[in-house]
Amino acid sequence: MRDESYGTTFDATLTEGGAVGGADLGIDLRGDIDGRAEAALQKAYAQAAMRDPRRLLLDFAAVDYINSTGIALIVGLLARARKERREVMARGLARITARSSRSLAWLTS
Amino acid sequence: MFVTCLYAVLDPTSGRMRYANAGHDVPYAWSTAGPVELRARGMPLGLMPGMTYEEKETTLAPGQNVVLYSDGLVEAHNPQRAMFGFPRLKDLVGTHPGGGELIELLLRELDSFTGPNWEQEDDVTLVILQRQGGTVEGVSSAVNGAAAGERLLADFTVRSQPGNERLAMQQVADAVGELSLPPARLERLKTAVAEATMNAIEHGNENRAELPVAIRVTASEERVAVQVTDRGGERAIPENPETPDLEAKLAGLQKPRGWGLYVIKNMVDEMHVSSDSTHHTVELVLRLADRGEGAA
Repeated sequence: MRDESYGTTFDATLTEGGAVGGADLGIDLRGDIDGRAEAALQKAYAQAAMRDPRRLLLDFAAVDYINSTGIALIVGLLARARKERREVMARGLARITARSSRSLAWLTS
Repeated sequence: MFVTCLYAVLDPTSGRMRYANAGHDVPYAWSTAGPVELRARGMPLGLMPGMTYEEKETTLAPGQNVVLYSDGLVEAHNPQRAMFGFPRLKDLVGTHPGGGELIELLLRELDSFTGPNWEQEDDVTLVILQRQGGTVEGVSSAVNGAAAGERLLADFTVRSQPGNERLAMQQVADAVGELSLPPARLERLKTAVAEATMNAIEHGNENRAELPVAIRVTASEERVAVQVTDRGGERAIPENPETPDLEAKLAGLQKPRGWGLYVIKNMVDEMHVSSDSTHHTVELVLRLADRGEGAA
């Protein structure tokens, strides 16, 4: 049995997103979006929500990997944003879909 | 009124099949000695009260076929009122390697036998059961623990800790490297392996690190198969997962999760689920004949 466990790195940081697509605020996602990304993702969204943006940009350009739990986290975030009447945009998905999963392409198609 | 019935319980992991027969036409199994009848004694259901039924058992080897059929085939008549009959069926079965093509052959033969003006006399139902891959204890043709015609490329376990699906994914990718899968096909297999392993860790083994998830990779000329086995036992895995309703999830009417099996099923050509009292196995199959990029 492989004895090690696979480490992960994920962080989500707020950026001023006005330059892209008219977003008021952006969240840069970096690393692996799996179950272990939940706390950092929730925290970043909560910080963004405190500034009450109408348009929020999620930037996936630096995401290396996403799995079905990660998809669920993003869907949960989108559901919360919809409830709060925020528009959410995404960029940088092409790299992920080419490298590790087409799942997000389905979500955004 | 009475009905005939063949009742069989198949364990896809071991190939073990137990069966009883209430007056139904006897299935044929392939063997090196030709087709053999899988007989079990029993009267049709509803004919007499208090009947008991003999239970028999066989074990299907990887690649072995069984043909099940209704009497509309063997009792069909030609214009001269001769019956299609069991000997003709047995001969046809004996000259064919099996698989779904046998159904087409039998229907063509039936059509040829009965002629163009035949009025169908009864229902004609044909089922070919073919065991794929896997291992059978005691099968002498097994090579390196893989089924006949298959090579074992990897056989390893990972601990049930979150994130270890990535280890599994990478080891499988390394193992299938020699097959030179097109990059997009390889990525799809990797995604499916990671998802299946994650399910095994979280749901089957409930994140209990000491429980292993066993992963086994085999390849033949036709396909590459990855079996992911956990200790989940009797908790069922749906083989045909529902398509997630994204709109309902976004509207908060459904929980955001529930993507794993759907993703797996869309990444590979075949997904098979089997269980026994202590294990679940999800088998992921990519067919090698289709080496193209495949549809999304």
